[in-house]
Amino acid sequence: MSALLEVSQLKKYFPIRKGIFGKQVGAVKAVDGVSFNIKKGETLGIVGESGCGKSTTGRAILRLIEPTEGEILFNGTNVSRLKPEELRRFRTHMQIVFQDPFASLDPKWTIQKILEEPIRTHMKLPEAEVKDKVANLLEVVGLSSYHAQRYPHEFSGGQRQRIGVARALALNPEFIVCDEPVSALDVSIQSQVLNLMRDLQDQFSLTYMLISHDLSVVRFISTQVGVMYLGRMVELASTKELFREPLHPYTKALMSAVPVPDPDATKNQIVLSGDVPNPSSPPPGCTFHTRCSMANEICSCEAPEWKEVSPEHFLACHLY
Amino acid sequence: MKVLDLKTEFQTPAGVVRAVDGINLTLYPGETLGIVGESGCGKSVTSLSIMGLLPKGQSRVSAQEIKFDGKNVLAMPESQMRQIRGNQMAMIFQEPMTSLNPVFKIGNQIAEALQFHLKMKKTEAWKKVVELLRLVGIPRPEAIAKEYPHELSGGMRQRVMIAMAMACNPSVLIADEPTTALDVTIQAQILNLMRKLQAEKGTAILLITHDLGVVAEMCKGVVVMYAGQIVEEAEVKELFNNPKHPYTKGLLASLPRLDGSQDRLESIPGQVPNPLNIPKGCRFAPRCAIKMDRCDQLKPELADLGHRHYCRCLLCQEEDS
Ligand SMILES: Nc1ncnc2c1ncn2[C@@H]1O[C@H](COP(=O)(O)OP(=O)(O)OP(=O)(O)O)[C@@H](O)[C@H]1O
Ligand SMILES: Nc1ncnc2c1ncn2[C@@H]1O[C@H](COP(=O)(O)OP(=O)(O)O)[C@@H](O)[C@H]1O
Ligand code: SF4
Ligand code: SF4
Ligand SMILES: [Mg+2]
Ligand SMILES: [Mg+2]
Repeated sequence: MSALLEVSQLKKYFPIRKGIFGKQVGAVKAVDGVSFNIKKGETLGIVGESGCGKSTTGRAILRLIEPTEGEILFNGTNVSRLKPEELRRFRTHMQIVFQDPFASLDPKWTIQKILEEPIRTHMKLPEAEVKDKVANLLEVVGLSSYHAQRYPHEFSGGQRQRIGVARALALNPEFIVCDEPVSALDVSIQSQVLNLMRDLQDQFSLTYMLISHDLSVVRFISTQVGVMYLGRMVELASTKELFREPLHPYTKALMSAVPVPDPDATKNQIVLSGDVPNPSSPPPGCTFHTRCSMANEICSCEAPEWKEVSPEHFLACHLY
Repeated sequence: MKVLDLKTEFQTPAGVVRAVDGINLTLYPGETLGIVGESGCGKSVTSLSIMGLLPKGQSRVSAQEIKFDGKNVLAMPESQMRQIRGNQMAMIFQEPMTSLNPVFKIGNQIAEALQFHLKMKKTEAWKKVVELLRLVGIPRPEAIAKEYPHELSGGMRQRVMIAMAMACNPSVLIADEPTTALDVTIQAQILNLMRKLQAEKGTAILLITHDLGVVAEMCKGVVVMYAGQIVEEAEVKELFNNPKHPYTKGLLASLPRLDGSQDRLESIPGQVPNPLNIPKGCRFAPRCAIKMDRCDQLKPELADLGHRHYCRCLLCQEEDS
């Protein structure tokens, strides 16, 4: 199947300014040349440590922040070139669900109003149909229509996240970026939301990009996984292949660091030394070389190339 | 350390909230005991109550006993409690910034504890500070000791907290979600460090977490809390391989696994009860998949199933008697 979304060489640099004139003295390379495709109906999971650029990638694709460079093709449309008015209309195809369901819902609005707002702005529907649509959205995410007149603070975390999902679904999008959708939830609630996301994907043939720092969540829901480190993607493969045989030293370390909820498990943990470097002055060469146990001379001077080591398995490391 | 029948209440505008309701804990030297449960179940309140760190005005802590090294902590005046805190009993918090003072250099903060508790001289204390920072894996300890907390990364701050907590060789360390705010690779470093220090010094650790993976890797025994009470307690292998309480079973089943692909996850319907409106019978009844009629009326006791395994469910209780 062909790709719904094709991203190539995406970059987002945030300027670092100093002094009263705001002279630019440097840049945080939050995303530094990331490329991937997502096929229709599939889910790309993005994992990596805090600050590695996961959210920035997600937002830049939707142009919620302006990319510095790179091309974003969605169903053949070049999203990166859309003018403001075209972009506004195009947004109906691509939506986002945020980590903190509370911060992303206006506390003064009822659920009815929260869900109506995008429908009114983007669709010309008769009043009665708007009401029906809202009732239907609530049902789809497992809430009832009597919830519609309530305010966000009257809901639990899991319910608020369902409302966030309902809002994202309001315009019948094809693609949803889910940025840490279950990170703020307890496990027993987290599993409800993850099941819901899966059901909706089947029901509406949705395509997802799932951002999470939790590898087991990503494994559950993704067909493909990309691993990011300091603004770059270091490995990208099908979920099956990546979990069976991770190749990049960082992917290996990340996987081995996850505590396994099984006291009988034996594992060889690779404990990385040191902290993630500052993204405003990343190490030269392979940015992971300061923490990599496999590093040799070339790693600290030359950046490894992004290459396809086997079909649909991409990697940036001098070892391969 | 031994805690018997700990109860903690808060005075709130909406009424009295009993956040912790009859907790018993026994902590053995050199062992790690885990406390798990969903947010709001009373894990932090338990630890703050034991440490005597809750604000006196709004809260009321009572217990049959909180014994530490044979001494009853509960009856102690605050001045004596302060001697014990940080010296024999230390605590690590989830967010290190809440316990590091932002306006003092981190070295001074650790040195102060050493001077207060161990009556060290200033120069001697500084030497020890550098040694402690090196012990917890801080690079360039001499230089870092002169920095302020905000100049460090989250992982380094958490290590400073551990250095501070370990400064006086406490026999009991209470760690409340010590790695929740950290990335997994940094979490692995911190957990390794705690294990290493425990092996060297024989510290007893009370580890509070909501991460069952962390429990499986770190703990000897586990206590599962729900709505202010212990609902199950067992040695770690027993709890994971042979859980008895429907809540524990639900928690374990709702985890997405790293090792295999599941088609669906189990989940526990509903949510934790409002602390102002605790169910009359079994507190878990509104969410329990195997609830019986009598569960709404009868309060289950913590039944002893043998080999350190306890469970608070009418089914276990009836089997037991
Ligand atoms: N508006 C901004 N201005 C300047 N720097 C920013 C801005 N937004 C993000 N950054 C920086 O860009 C980098 C990537 O941030 P991003 O939010 O994408 O990380 P992330 O991978 O989503 O992390 P987390 O797991 O903590 O959410 C970080 O170094 C961050 O500090
Ligand atoms: N200072 C306080 N005043 C009133 N209620 C409190 C206070 N601190 C905690 N609580 C309540 O006590 C219960 C347990 O909280 P806590 O121990 O922090 O949970 P957790 O298990 O997530 O650590 C919660 O219902 C919480 O709202
Ligand atoms: S390129 Fe070198 S430093 Fe980078 S991951 Fe590969 S071996 Fe390690
Ligand atoms: S007592 Fe009843 S409701 Fe409570 S856990 Fe046992 S079976 Fe479920
Ligand atoms: Mg983010
Ligand atoms: Mg807590």
